[in-house]
Amino acid sequence: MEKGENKKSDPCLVLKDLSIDFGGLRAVDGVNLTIEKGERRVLMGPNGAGKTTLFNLISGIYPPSRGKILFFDKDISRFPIHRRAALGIARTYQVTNLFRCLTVTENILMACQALEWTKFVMFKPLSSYRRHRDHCDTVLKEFDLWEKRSELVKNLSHGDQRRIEVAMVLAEKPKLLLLDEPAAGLSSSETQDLTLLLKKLDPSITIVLIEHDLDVAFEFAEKITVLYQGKFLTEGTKEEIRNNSTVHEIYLGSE
Amino acid sequence: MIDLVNSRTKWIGLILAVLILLVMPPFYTSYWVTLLTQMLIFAILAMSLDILLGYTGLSSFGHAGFFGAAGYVVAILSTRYKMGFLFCLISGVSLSVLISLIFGFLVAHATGVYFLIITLALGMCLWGLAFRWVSMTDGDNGISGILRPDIGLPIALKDPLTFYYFIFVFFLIALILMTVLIRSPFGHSLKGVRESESRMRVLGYHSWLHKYLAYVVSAAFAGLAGVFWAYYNGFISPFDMDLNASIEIVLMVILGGPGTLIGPALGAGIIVFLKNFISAYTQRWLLILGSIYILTILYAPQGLINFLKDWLQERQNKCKKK
Repeated sequence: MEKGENKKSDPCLVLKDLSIDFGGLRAVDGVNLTIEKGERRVLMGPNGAGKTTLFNLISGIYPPSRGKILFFDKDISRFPIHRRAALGIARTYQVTNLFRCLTVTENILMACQALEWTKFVMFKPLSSYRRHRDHCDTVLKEFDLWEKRSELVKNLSHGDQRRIEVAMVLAEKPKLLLLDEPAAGLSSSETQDLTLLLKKLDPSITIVLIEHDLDVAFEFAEKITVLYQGKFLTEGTKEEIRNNSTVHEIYLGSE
Repeated sequence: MIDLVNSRTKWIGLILAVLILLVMPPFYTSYWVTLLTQMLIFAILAMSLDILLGYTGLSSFGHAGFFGAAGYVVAILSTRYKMGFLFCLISGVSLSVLISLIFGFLVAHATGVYFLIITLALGMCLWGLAFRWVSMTDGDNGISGILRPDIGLPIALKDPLTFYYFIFVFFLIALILMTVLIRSPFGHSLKGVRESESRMRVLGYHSWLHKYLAYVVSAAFAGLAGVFWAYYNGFISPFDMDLNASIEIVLMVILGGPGTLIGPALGAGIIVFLKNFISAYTQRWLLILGSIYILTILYAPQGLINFLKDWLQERQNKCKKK
């Protein structure tokens, strides 16, 4: 039966009844979600809806208390973080998490070699790996970081750091990209640049984006999923979400 | 850009180092040659800790344990079993590696203060073993009578100067190996673990394994230093590997500048010098060491080598403005 479904479509990510408890708090409660390959999906929901926790579950920071995570039909619910990354799951952080005392190039190189066995080589300089260097240069140019490549990350502006955050995960050539509010704290023009950049990405990469800004969300995705208090609330196209009264209620409050 | 500005300074530093360490020793008195030998041995030790402390961001407070364990291997094998240099060297380093392979399972899960405490405890275990396993280690009497190695060359290593150059060669080898290591992809990954371990994991690094390997490599070089220490001193006792000894190594790294390799080597030189030179004049050399440490933390928290770098940079910038 399952094989028949596979032939029709090949979902990138399937969450089945996914839950996690922190003590008495159920942060994610029985979420079911199917994301097709190459799909752009936005996750929305007010603070505490469990969006970031859901990302943490998918990328493997926490093991789920219940339920399953299927990545291209493979049950990865119990995989450690680095193995999930090796399968092609990459994520960014809501609060910038970079190698602050290294240069931009060094940050990107860290991602370039992350999934290669060469990361264990001890007796050959890193600079001798042309492949990594070329790939790193391409990424730097693509993200408009070329001029700043030898600056320390901690000395760069917040906007640049957010861009590096995205550049780094893309350097890994992921299959599934989890972007946790990439535009957090950016000015409106910076946000626009970033949205343009995201829209230009390789269409074969599946992207899940957490975004509070409705304009960005509507511009980016065909389908939007709304979470509320750890539960799946609704799912739909731009218009459906825009006209959904429950969504209005939880975002703007009921009377 | 920073490298460009400093390249001339780097050359001056290198030439100075070659002069002091390679060309000049025949003109020193044997006291100074011996002191310099000791500095080089501790420089290897401090650099080995720098791989952990400076590059991986893990402060090990049990490093003297590896140093002492390797020293004991040399002491026991060379005095009781009359083993040759090469065998002692390999055995000494191997034991350090073996211990670190076992300890590594315990320590590599920890970070920060927890890493510090676990390594401290394990270091104390090794010290306790040296102290209490009297039938093997002669307890707190230590083992004396370790002869300088006979390496089958026409030159005798009893002479301080030849022994100095002998150690110098190994110091260079260790320095080159460690420099290559930190510039390698693996060395790069260690810096990543230092900066953000959570990010490393999400990128796809099995950070535990990287920390484990760093710990083992670091222990191997500490063992190398321990082997030479036993030969240099002709004597080894539990005091070579107690908590004080471990803390001293950490001080060398912090004083010199963690994450620079050359810095900790410099720090080792300074501390060995103070320990020997000043303690000849006063009983209170620890007081002086403490003050230097406090001054470093206050005025050069990045260590002497970075302090020097910044100072030179500033001076150069001023010159340019003029």
